[in-house]
Amino acid sequence: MNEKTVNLKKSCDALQGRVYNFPHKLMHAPKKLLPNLELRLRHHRFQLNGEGRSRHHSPGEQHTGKTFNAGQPVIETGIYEVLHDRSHRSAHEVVMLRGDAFPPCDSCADRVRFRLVRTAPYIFQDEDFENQE
Amino acid sequence: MQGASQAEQVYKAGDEAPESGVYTVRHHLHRENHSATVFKGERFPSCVHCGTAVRFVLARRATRILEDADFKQDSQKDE
Repeated sequence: MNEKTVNLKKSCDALQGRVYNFPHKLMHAPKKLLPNLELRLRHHRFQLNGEGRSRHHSPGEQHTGKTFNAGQPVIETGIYEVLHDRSHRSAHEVVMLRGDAFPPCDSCADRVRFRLVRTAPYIFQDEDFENQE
Repeated sequence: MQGASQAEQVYKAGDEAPESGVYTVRHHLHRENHSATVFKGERFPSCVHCGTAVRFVLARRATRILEDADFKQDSQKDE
């Protein structure tokens, strides 16, 4: 079982815990709350089976730490730490869009590196917001 | 947290994003909070499910690479 599967299983277990430990006073809350929770559980189980594309994106930390070179394609939209060569500049963070290419630095050219800090899908590529640009 | 915004400023659909970065998106009942990338100057969109009840909070600010002084030459070449 790989790390991603283990993390998903933990999420699923946590959600199940929320169902069984549902506060009593909320048992009489609007009925539409529970179906939403069940849908989310189903969604997590679906991911555990490794089938299909996730409807909603995960919090986006699973690929953090990977480094990329100038010229490589950006595989995940999000925040990247930029590591310049020979310390001509201290590390800083930038936002990159999936599908773009990591650019060379004007000072240290293709010796610059990019480290993934946090992924988050572009808002207009999210199912709840797409086609609104 | 590095790059975090000043005291939690909540934005609504239609507001202009003051910073590029990752925002926490808060829906009304139908979906848990999640993260999304938004660029400075873009208008926060409404949600297809909860409409204008959706809210946005800046979680982590970062410059768009095209706006960074060390990468402007490359972006100008592309234009």
